[in-house]
Amino acid sequence: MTNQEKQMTETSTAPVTAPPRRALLDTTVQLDRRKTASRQKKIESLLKEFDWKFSTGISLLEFKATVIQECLTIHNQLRRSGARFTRVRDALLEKKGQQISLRAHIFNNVLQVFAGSFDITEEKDHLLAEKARLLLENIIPRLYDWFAKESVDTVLNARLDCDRAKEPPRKKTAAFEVNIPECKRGKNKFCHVEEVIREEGPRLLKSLEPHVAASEQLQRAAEVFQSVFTNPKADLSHSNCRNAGDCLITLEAKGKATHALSSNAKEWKPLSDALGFEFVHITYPEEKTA
Amino acid sequence: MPSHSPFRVHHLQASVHFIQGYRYLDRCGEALIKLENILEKGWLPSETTPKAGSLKNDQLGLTASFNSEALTVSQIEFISFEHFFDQACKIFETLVRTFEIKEINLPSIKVVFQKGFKDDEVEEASQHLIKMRLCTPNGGLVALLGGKPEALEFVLVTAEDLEWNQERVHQRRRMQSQVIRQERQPPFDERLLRRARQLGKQQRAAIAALMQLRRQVPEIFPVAVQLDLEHSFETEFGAEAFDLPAFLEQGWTWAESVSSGLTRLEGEKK
Amino acid sequence: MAEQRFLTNSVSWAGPATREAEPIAKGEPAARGGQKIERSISEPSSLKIATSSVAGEGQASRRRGLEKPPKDIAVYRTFRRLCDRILDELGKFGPFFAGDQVSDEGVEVVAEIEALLEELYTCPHGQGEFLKRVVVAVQSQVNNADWDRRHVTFLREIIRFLRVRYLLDEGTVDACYDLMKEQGLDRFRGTIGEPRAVKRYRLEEVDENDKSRETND
Repeated sequence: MTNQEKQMTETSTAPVTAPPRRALLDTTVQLDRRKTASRQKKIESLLKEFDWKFSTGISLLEFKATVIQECLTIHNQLRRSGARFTRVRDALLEKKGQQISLRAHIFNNVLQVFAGSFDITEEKDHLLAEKARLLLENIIPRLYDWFAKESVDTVLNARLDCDRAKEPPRKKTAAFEVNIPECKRGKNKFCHVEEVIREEGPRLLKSLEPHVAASEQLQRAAEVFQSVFTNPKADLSHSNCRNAGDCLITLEAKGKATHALSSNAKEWKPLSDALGFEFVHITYPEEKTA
Repeated sequence: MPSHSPFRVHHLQASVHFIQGYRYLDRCGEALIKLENILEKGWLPSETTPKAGSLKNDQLGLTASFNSEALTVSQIEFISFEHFFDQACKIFETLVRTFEIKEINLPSIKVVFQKGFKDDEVEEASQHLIKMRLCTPNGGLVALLGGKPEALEFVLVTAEDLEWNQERVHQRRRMQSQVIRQERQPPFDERLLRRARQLGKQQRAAIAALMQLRRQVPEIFPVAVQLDLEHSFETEFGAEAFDLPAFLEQGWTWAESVSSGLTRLEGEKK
Repeated sequence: MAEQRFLTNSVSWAGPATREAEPIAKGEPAARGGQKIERSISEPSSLKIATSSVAGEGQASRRRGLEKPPKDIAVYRTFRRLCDRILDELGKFGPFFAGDQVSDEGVEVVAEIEALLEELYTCPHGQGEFLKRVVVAVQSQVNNADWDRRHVTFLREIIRFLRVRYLLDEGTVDACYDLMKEQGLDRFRGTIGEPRAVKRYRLEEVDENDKSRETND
């Protein structure tokens, strides 16, 4: 065999290494990784198939606005003088809100750990409130740290550079600081969200056109994008960004992720198709039959 | 003042060596602030240099000195083991955390007992120590030297490998006995001469207390038989895991038991 | 130290009478071939730290009594006793493992430890609420849980760490969560993380006058 033939043979029989599989995780997937052991197990097993795991700054913003905010809301009520666990629980579960089931989930979990088979006297109610408050104080900053530093290989934020995502929850003497302050350009806002929307928005919206009518979330995102297109001085705050959350998350990961993982197929499938990710739909069929 | 006193604790000292305590050079100031905030009222930082930082509390009779190599906490003459223990533990933990010390070695506690004598009783003091027969010189040696034993000083060190808090340690115990003369210097701090408004609130209170103390009549024996007992571990420990409270209490209890034993010996000789 | 502060001198009765005289030859340095440094092998272990300032090293004169003893020390001793009791209980788990799980025979020990943790929660040792925060963190892992070797190891490690702490701070809480992570425990159990519980509890509103009510699940 000549050297050239040998080289050709070696080239043709050399193992072809697959390109690395890079997963973008939706916010709900991140939350599910902490909520129940069965969901965590399923997701972690799935993530083993990937070489890299990403999340994004906007996802972290959503995590702060939902999970962390609920913990803060409960903590604030529990730290009032004379707070009673049962009363705080009743008051907060009576209010209507998007995250009501998450709130109930937290209260129930606290109960499983600290309650017992007893009549809840006033004294025990105060004690339960105190313990719940202290436990939340412990985990609120650790939830943020878990998301930002441990949960994924990196939290992508270079493109949008969301400022609110970079701010960990901070405790003053008794209460935590405002979780997500209003964004004010030049004061606490130095991000590139409007720029990214103007650059990538038109093409993305065009790709999503067939799906917008069927999805309220995509409609809200389209409205946010349009407000930026039509107003050169548009200055979005975090609540606007959250309304366009899915679009902004996927835009941040464009060109970096190969796969997108979400339990929300309605919005994420069309977004993945538009941005070149392979969509992985996460479902929990065993929970429906249980 | 009585001509003789029983053996009383005159000096307590604990020290610990730091391994890689170099952050002292960066964080000495921070350490002093933390110590001022954490410790009892009355602590005053003394002059602090790259060589060492120090604080003192005249109301409690305590001084603390530290540098990149070690920490030493002392209480002289006015003794309260409870206060010494409390403040030493707090100082140690504050410095370990501030300087991020990972390991320490050679923790030691020294307890010095004195039995007082008057100014003109040096010979009595010397004979008292000889008669305690803590260390008896060889008769043949005395004969070789000629004359009678007039003064005696000795140091005895014992060592043992044992298990302490589930770790193997090399325990070293030392006893030094001698007769000493001592003179007191009245406590002085140059801040006594400053206008009160030049000092911070904490320092003003400490200086005011010191002024009061200077007016008190000192009680001190000019001559003393001194027993210096030291308990130490010649072993390295993880700084955060080292059980300083148990170490100090054990050392104190041991020193007290040695002293009681010696007092019984004294009684037997009479 | 006494020597420095009190200008003590080991009485010359036992000190040498003569001083060594150094012969000085012309042209030769006083110290020939380097100075000799001696150290006794029986020297003390404690280190003398030289501070530059002599002023300020004066000592308080003897007084009859100090102010009342520091309250922290009595509280520390109570705290320490509780920690030691928990460690003693943990030592009893030896025969009570079925594989990695704590067997039914170990339930008494579990109950005793849970009770001791409640006592530890109310102990006023340390500043602020740091001890309480550490205890609720521990309870979030062990309360109403199916204990296995991880729980026993975690408890042993955290109590060993805690019992020598005279000062408690945020670092103590951090250490507790680090140990949880090391043992593979869910740090968010009891809040975001749903606990795998031995018993399920719920809140039930009852009529104050109803004496025949059930309160158990």
